[in-house]
Amino acid sequence: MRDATPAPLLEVDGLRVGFATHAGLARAVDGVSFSVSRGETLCVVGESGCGKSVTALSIMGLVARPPARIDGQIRFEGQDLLTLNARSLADLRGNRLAMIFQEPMTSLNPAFTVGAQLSEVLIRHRGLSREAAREAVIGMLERVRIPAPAQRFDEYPHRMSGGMRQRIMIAMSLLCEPALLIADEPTTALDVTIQAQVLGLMRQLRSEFGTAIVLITHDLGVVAEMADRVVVMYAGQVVEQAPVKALFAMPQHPYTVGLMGAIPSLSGGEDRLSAIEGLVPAATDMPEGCRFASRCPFSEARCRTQVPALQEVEPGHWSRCWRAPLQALAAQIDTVAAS
Amino acid sequence: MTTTEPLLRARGLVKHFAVRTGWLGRGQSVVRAVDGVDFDVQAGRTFALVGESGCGKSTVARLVTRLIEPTAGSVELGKDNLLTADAAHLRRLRGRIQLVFQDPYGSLNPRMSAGDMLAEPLRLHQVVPAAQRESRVAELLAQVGLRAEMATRFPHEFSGGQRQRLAIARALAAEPRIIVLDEPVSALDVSIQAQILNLLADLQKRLGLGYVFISHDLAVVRHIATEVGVMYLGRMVEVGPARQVLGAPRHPYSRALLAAVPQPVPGLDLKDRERRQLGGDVPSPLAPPPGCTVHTRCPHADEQCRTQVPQLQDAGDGVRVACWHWARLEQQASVESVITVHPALSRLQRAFREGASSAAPASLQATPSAPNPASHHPS
Repeated sequence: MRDATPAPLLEVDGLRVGFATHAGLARAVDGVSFSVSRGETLCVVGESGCGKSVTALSIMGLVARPPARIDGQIRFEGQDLLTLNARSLADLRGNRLAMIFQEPMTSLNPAFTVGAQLSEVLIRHRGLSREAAREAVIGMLERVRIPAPAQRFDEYPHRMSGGMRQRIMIAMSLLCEPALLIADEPTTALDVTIQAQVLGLMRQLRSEFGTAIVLITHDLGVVAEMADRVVVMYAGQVVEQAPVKALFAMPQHPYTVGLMGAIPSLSGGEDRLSAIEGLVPAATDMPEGCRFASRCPFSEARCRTQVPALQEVEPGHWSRCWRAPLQALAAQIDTVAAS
Repeated sequence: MTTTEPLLRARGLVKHFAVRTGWLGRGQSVVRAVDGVDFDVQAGRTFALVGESGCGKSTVARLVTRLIEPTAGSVELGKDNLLTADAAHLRRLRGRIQLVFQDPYGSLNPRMSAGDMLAEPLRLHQVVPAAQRESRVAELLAQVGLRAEMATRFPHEFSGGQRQRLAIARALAAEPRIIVLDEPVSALDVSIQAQILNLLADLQKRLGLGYVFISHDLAVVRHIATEVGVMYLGRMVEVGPARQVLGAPRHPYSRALLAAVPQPVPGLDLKDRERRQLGGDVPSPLAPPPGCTVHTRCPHADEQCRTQVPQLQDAGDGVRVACWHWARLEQQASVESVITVHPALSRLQRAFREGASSAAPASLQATPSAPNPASHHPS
């Protein structure tokens, strides 16, 4: 996919985000690089504190500096977002670049009608009149399948259910047909039947508008359903990156292996889950060597002393592990078990 | 179901909440949060309640522990009726049924050390003589995989997963026969969730505990439950062995719920899933629809469903279903056929499992004061 479009839509390059804390500098994001092509869906997977949300907020320019220290580059349509002034960034946000959040309950302003909040986007970015904006907004509400959109336009957010609010957030983010939509755990707060509706809607709108999506999630089921490519993050770093099918067929980082074994399957099966023992290291106190070494059943001496680089194990499949490719490792385990 | 006497028998549980509505709250109406729920919990087995927000599953958890008083119904713990017990008797009975909540941050007293928290139920329920309390606290900590020196720590010094271990240890302190677990792993990351689920399975196997497990996560329930009840708007729409209810669901709502769960398999045909998808939202429990409560979202609903309330009826294989049309609906392909795992990947995952079990504390093996589960083991 990368070969087809020479210049990717979004390029994050060596992104570092640090926060000063009492315990020292906490590097929430530590050298993250990835790119997103036009129309592509990239899923970012990882557990709490891995830096996935801070990465997303940095792209949107929503991390305040100071207190945060941000290094690296975020190139979007040829501009470095980190060097843009507030005014130019505001021109991009909600226009070429949009974001939806996990909490549909708190991301709408309770004091304004839904219609007023959505119209504002078109008035600010497209210079539409109030009447023209109203028409466009009602059209968009219809497309995200809000029943009776003309009536809902004049209602306040508290009148809507969680699923409806998230659809309204999606409608708001798509009003200006953005080139890139960042969705940070958009369905985590929703019930599973509502999640299915929202994910279906995102798939449909992606094919209609050709919007590229960066979808942040911890749910591997959502990843399998939505992603073209996947970035797996652990302790502020990218540990694996691959096309979705390659990742699920044979992950190349032990953390991903553990994560896949830790989710119970709907078809039952294994008696015990393969829990990843231990905890994520603190952002202020990262270990030497590989950050996953202390929880990894395959770690050896060099893992605890030398930092592994992100390497291409197979075409398009990158892993930050000394022991990759893992097929060879699996074969070794067998011979050890047999002897 | 086994023929042994159940540890817990809930019958006809009903809970109505009065709510004020309208201008300045002058109107009054009733939310039927739980509207006639029956189930049994056997020793060594897990009865899970699943459903979407507002279906009443957490209210059931509070009713069977009598944290709130039911509008009607009965809860029997063996020969004792929990709902008619006086205060002194209730306190004794509470030692037999304990509760673990979803939020390990909100459910522990921030001013009490872990040791004090565990010693309190030991004292209240006079589980062990005062002189042995300290050693019993250490045993309890070891039982949930925490170190004995952690007894001096306060809740904020624990991670989320450790706090949930502590909450489980506190529930175990009174030596209950039943633990009600209300979304016990929903607030945890997947890798930590797996640790807690393994711990719960180990404890159940060793102590013969009965679990009431409340969750919205069907994969977690499939993993841990032996029996499952699917709730919708305060009623059970399908109940039976987990393998049946989640493997070959009969009720259209159970089917839709299962079909909505994203599978960790890329490239699945999502068309089929979207066909089974439920439209719309759960109706307001203030004004539940007449007839079958699912009919507003059900693709198979007809006139009968809109007017007559279906009751749970026997549907074979130990399953009971509240649906007028379940027998006419085509069999649903089970999810089991879909998932194939690369052999190298499953070998690597085995290493995680074996590494994990060998790393478990040795003290997990021995618990001197545990009740003997042998006589209650499931067939």
